[in-house]
Amino acid sequence: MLSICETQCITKPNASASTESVLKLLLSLVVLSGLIAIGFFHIGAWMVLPFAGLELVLVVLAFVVVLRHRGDYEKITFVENHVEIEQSVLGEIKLARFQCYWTRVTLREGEGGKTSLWIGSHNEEVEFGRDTMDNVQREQVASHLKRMLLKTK
Amino acid sequence: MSTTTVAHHDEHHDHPTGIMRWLTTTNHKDIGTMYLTFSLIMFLVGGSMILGIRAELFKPGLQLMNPEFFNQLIGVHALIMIFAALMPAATGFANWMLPLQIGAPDMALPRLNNWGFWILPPSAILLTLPFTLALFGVGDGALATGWTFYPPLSVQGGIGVDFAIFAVHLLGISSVLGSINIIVTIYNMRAPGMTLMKMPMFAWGWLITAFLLIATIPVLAGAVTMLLTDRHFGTHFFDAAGGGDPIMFQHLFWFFGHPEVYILLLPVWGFIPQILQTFSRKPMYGYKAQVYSLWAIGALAVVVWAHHFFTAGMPVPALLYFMYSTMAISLPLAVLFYCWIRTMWKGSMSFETPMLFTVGWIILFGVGGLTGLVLADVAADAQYHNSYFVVAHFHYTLFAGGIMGIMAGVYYWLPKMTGHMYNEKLGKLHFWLTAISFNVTFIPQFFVGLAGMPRRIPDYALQFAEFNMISSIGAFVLGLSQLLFVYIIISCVKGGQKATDKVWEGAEGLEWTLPSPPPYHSFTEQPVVK
Repeated sequence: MLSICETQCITKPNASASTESVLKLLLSLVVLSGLIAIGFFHIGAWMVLPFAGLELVLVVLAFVVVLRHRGDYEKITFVENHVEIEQSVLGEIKLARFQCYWTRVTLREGEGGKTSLWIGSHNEEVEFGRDTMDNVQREQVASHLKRMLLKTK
Repeated sequence: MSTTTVAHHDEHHDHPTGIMRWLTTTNHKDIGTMYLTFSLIMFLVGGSMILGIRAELFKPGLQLMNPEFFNQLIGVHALIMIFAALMPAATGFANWMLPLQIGAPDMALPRLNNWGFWILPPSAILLTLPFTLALFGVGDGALATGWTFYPPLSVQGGIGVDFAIFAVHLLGISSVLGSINIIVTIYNMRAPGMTLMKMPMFAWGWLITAFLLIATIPVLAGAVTMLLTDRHFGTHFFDAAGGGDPIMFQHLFWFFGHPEVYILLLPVWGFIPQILQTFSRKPMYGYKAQVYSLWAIGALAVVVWAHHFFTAGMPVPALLYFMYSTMAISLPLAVLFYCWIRTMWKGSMSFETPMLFTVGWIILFGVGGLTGLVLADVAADAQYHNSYFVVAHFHYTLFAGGIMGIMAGVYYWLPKMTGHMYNEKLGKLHFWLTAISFNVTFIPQFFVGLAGMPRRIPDYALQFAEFNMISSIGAFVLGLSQLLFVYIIISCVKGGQKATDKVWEGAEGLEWTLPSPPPYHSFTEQPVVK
């Protein structure tokens, strides 16, 4: 999900599920599958149990993987004559700050045609939107940044 | 549901080309296309098998094949049609349309999505390979037990049973991976403002389907694994001589097998109301009632399994419970039928091909539902069980209710997917050929079934000859008319009149705000649902 306004660009993954709703969902699946597996175990079909257990582990893992990244975001903010880039991955926040006058925005083409967007100055660069944006969005952000930077020069 | 304007850009290719694109793709539309293509190919493979069967049944006596091969064709036909044609078709639509409908950039777990698809072709090969091996003198062909694997026949069967067991395991893994992905996507990837009760009905249909798959696939996996150990590792789960119980397998199998019917139908019940509202040009009637009915059907689906084997013998209270609980499914289903008909009522209806298929679907699926009520009756079932009446009933449910529904969906979304309009005249011709020949095939089977003709037998009494001949002629017309379907799809993919973004005048939903075909990366700006 990308939102661009005049002085700020934010990109973050879709996260429509609340922790509470996911817990309710997982609980209902565990109860449903668990009851079925235990029922069949009771009549001697114990082999249902390991398959049900394995499947529930997979469901939980899938949600864990997705929900761990729900708080991730990347943000570019223009503050006076500086560009601030804030990146939050798994709760760890990295901050980079460049002076607008020297800041360069580069769009590089990589393997398989995938582009990468780099922002930096004086041999220091930060990649922006590697996993959260597609080529079109990276291009969109790059041209917006260049336009904004030109205004400050 | 109203949405903000979505900005679009020209197609940018940041993906490999050629075969590597399809092997490594994580794009939901690519994977959806692969599922749908695979489904179409397997539909033709499974269909050609049944044409062999109908050719054999054209007249009494054995003409073309021995009974063993006849049984193998029936079993593999069913497994292919259910697991390799219908289920992948519904999954293909889910991949293509769910992210577009809920405003997500892709599925939540794209790599899992890729693996889920690529498990399918090896399992299809496993199902059909025993036929080829038998030609070279290895083994005795595919499984000859029907799709139900009932022991003791399956315990005593040849290597075809082992191949089918492994194929079922792979198909199960694929289904579970797909279900997990769909549940996570629907829960976590919806656009801002798209609450659960604003979701398109198709998303609801698939959410409940995914629940059912997660609840029942472990039971099937456990059952076929126990069968495998009975065959090769000296266990006696289903061997009465060793203290086991062959009826337990029937309970295990149908605990999965009955919900499987709804697994095949719920996604179709999801998009049918969307087609109806589009071509009736009025809002869907009873959205909430439909959602609750889908949940009710999903819940009932897992508690009615034993009506498939009333005749195997069970206590009277169990017979009564399973009879009444099965009949109870008709209540939420009646609510759905009422909502579908009310959606059309006093609408400005037009009958383009998707609508023709949908209206035909409602009528024919209704026949499938009503004949199901007859079979749910314990007393009547004793006569109809294992007869051609059952064959006709479940083809009205799964061909009319499943495949014709899928065809409605194909015609509805094909212009969106390809960017071209299909040939409307040929589409309508395909509908009429399909609807008429389907009835010519299966109405006679009701009559021969009522008269006592058993299923899965390559020869029959002379009194059934005329009806079987009519049924075979219908089947061949039905089979050949599907070549027209393939031609329409291929010519639409290759070119044709340019489709507009909205395609259909009355279409509603986020997928219609995108260009036709949608760009490789669907939403470059987040849509907001109000």
